[in-house]
Amino acid sequence: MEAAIRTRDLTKTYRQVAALAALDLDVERGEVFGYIGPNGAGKSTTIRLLLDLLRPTRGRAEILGMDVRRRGVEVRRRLGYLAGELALYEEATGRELLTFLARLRGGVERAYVAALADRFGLPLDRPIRELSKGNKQKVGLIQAFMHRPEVLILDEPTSGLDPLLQRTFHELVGEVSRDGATVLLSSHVLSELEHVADRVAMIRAGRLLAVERIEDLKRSAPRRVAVTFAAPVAPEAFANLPGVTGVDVRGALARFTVHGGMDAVVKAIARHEVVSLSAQEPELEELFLDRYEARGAQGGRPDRDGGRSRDA
Amino acid sequence: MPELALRSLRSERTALIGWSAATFALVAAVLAFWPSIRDNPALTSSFGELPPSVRSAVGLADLGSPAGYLQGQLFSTLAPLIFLSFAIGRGARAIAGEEERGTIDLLLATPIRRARVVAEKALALLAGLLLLGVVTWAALLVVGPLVDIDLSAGRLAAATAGSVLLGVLYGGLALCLSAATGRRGLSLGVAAGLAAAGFLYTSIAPFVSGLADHLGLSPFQWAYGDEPLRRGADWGDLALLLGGGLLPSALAVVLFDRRDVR
Repeated sequence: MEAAIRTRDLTKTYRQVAALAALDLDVERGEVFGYIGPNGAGKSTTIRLLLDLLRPTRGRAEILGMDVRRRGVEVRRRLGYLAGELALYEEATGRELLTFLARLRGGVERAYVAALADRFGLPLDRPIRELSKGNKQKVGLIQAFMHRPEVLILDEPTSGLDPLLQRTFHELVGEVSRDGATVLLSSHVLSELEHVADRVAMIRAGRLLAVERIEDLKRSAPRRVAVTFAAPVAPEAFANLPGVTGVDVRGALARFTVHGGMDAVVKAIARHEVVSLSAQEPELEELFLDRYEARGAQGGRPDRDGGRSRDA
Repeated sequence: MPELALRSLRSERTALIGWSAATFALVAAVLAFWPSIRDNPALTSSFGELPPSVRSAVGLADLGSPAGYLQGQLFSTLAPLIFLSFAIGRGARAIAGEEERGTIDLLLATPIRRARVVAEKALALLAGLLLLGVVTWAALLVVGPLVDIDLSAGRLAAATAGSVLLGVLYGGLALCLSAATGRRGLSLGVAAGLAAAGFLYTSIAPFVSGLADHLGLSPFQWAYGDEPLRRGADWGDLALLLGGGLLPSALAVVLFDRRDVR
C-alpha cells in the first residue's frame, strides 16, 4: 500500500529564501507522526503545501497516493486539517459552523459530531466570539475529526488546551490511529509529542534534520544516575563499567551518566546496600538537538536558542 | 446548495438590513424634495441657459419633469454612489477578507474547488446588489406616487437595473483584484479609483471637445447615459455592464487558482 504522506524534493522558496528545502518525507499508514521544529522552521509551510494552499517551487507531495495538486479535492475529502493559527467565523455558533463545514463535505455523521463535542465539553450553541481560546481550539479539532478522515494533519493541535483536554486529545489520536488513521502532528516542543507519536521528524531552517523512532531516541538516551549507599563506596566500583562516564563519588553518594543498557550498572550497584536511587532521562529535546547539532549547523540558523524558544 | 454564498449572506445579515434601510431612506428623501424643486421655477430655469447638449449629458435637460429630476438627482449621482460603495466594498473583501481573517483555511481544507469559493462569493455579491435594487425600485414605486411621481414600473426598473449592473461591473472588478492579490486595501483602492475616474470622465466629457466622442466607452454612460426613465431599457448597454462584471469574475477564478494562499 502507498504511504499516507509522501513528499519528494518538496521545496518552497520566497524571494531566494528557502522556507522549505528539498523535503523527502514518508509517513506510513496508521502512523502517528510528530513534526517538530522551532517557530519559523518550515512546519507550517510543509503543512500548507500538503493542503495545496501553497504551491511548491519544486518537487511534489502525495497523500494516500494522490498528488495533492492535481487531485486536491479527492485528497481533502479524506483529510482532516487543523490550522496552526485557527480562525473561525466568530459570529456563528459552533453548531452552525460545524454544520456549514459538514455540508461542504457533503454531510457527516451527526451523532459522531455530538459525541466529539460532548467528549471535549464544547458548548455548541454559543457564538464563537464568546468562546475561550481553548473552546475555539475544540471547534477546530472537532471539524478536523468529524468526517472520520483517513489522514489528519494537525498544526500545533494542543495549543490553548489545558492538560486534561490534552489528554482527551491524545486518547482520541490513539483511537483513530488504532482504527487505521494516519496522524501528522506538529509542535515546537518535543515533549508534547513524546507520548503520542511513533516517530518524530525534526526540521530546522527549512531542512529536515532527522527522523527517529521515539522509542529508539529514548533507549539510547544517556541517564543521569544518582545512588545513595548505606556506606561509602570506591569510585572504581563504577568507573570501569561499560557505558559509564562522569563518575563523581562523594562518600556514600555516587553520581554518573549511563549510556546504553543499564544491566551492568544495576548489578554493580546491587553488591552494596542501597538507600535510594534515581535515574533521570534528559529532556528529549536536548537529546535531539545534541545529537543533530552538527548537521543542523550546516544549513541552520546560527542561533541555537531558536530551537527551544517557546514563545509564539 | 450554494452553502458558501448563504454563509456569507448570513454573516452579513445585519449589514444588509442596514444597507437596505439606508437605501430606502435616501431614495425616499430624494423623492421628498421633488415638490419643492418643481414649484421653484428659478431653480429649473437657471439650467436652461446651458447649451442643450451639456444639459442633456449631465441629466439636467429637464429638471422640471419627474424623469429629468430623478435622472439628475438619483440615477446619475446618489444611486451609483450607493451601489458602487456596496459592491466595491464587498468585492474587495470577498476573498481577501477571508484570507485576512484566516478563515479561508477552513474553506479550502474541505473538498471544494477554489473556483467554487470565488463563484459563490460572486453570487453573494450579486444577491446583495439585487436586494438593494429591489429596495430602490420599491421605494420609487411606494413613495413616488405620494409626491406625484408616477413613472411606469418598467422605466423605473430599467433605471434601477443600470445602477445594479454598474455595481456588478465594479464589484466584479474588485472581486477579481481581491482574488488575484489577497489584499483588501489594494483591491478597494484600485476599484474605487477606477470607478471615480469613470464617473468624472462621464461628467466632464460632454464639456470637453474630443472627450465626448468616446463617451460610449464609459460604464456610467451605459448605466444611465441614455436616460432610461424616458426611453426605457437599453438592453445592449445593460448587457455590456453585466458582461463587464462577469468577465473579471471569471478571471478571478483563474487567478485565485494559480496563487499561494498564506
